[in-house]
Amino acid sequence: MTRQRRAWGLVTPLLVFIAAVFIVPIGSMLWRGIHDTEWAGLLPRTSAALAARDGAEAPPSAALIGDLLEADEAGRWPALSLRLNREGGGLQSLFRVTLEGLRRGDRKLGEIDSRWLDAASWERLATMVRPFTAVHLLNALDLRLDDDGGIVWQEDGRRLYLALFLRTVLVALGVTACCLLLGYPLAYLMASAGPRLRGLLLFVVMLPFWTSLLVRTTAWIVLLQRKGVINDLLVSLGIVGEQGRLALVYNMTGTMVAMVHVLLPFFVLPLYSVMRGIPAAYVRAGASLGARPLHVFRRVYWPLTLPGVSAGSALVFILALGYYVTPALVGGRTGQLISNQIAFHMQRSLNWGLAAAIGGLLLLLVIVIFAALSRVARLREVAS
Amino acid sequence: MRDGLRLALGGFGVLVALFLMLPILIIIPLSFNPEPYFSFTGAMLRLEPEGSGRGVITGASALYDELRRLTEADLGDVPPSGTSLSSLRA
Repeated sequence: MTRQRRAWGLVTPLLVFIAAVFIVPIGSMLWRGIHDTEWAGLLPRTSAALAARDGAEAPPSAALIGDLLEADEAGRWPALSLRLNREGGGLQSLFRVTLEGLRRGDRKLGEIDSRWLDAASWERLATMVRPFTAVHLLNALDLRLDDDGGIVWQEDGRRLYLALFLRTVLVALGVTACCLLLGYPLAYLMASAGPRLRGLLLFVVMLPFWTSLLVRTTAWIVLLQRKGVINDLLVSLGIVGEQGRLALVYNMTGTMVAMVHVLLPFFVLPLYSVMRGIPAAYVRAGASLGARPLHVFRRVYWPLTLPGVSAGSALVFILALGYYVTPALVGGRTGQLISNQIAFHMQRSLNWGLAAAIGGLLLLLVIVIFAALSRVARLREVAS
Repeated sequence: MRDGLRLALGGFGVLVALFLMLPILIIIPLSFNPEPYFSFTGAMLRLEPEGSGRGVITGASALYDELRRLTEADLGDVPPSGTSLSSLRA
């Protein structure tokens, strides 16, 4: 019993630390994606009255008038207007007209704007001000609620996030594939080299780790820009003309190149440690039994390195899914990923609910992909 | 493994190592570049000292000279270099 208590005593600080810096912040972020308290602050009486309202009761016009006048007096109209604009569906114009009427002294909502006589407007408002909302999650999937409360696609010009999710997954897959193509031979060279060359190569692989991410990304801007080193080299070699300089940065090419450079060590190091553990005698045995080099590689070496490949791939893929700094710096307009939208909604548009919903969906995507990968890996184990 | 394949793999591995290392090595001289943008100037590519890393020092010494000129113009009487502090107090 005492031993058990002592063990708990040792583990508890770590558990508290993980809960405080990991579970609670992420949980509160996810919570924000479905729980919206902004309306309770903007229209307190109306949201309370609409929440308590039975369908048959008269709409709480007095509460709305009181809230609007109070918001106008307290200078909260810009915040309210911003939020209404985000909701779309003409609500902002309805509230603006209503407020102008109230300022003139009118106190009958139906006379100020006939839309208040329509029960659908009140239904819409009631759905909107509920503390628990699916609006952000729907928004993050390019969906919205129509006037009848049904789920429909966003209008063509407002669809953005599904394409960005797809682009992010494709970029992450592309970066992982590039890391596999570039990292596998490098890891092999490291594992099979003599101690001196191995030390040098390890230094080269570790070098990016010791350099700030910003420095590395800036270095790629220097290399890839129109007047940069690579374009200068291509022009001086006569491969491209002065006018035909390539656009290598501030687009998807720049994002891919810089991301592969940043993430390659994360692929090489786990693969290298697995390759180091493979006895050279296995390959020699395969060759001495008459197999050609490619056959030995395919039947002996590659299967033995698979744990390293899957660990490195998973690491690179998951990191690439949430990558933010590099696309923000070298991505330009076409090289942005979903994480840049999360940052945009956190920092610029201040739509934290939508940022939380996109973040939550990204987390869900990672979990689903991880579960699928581990299932495939287990199936392979069973098959072998 | 055959020597040719080993050589090809080794060559490719070295190229990847260069890919990892070069951007960092290339940005080092640029951090001494007095230009407002990250770019290699013509003088830097011709390996002229004024256009490369020493440009910072050239720029700093120009600033120093300018400050010195302004100070002399304003104060008029600047003690010659090598004058000790105690002699000034006296």
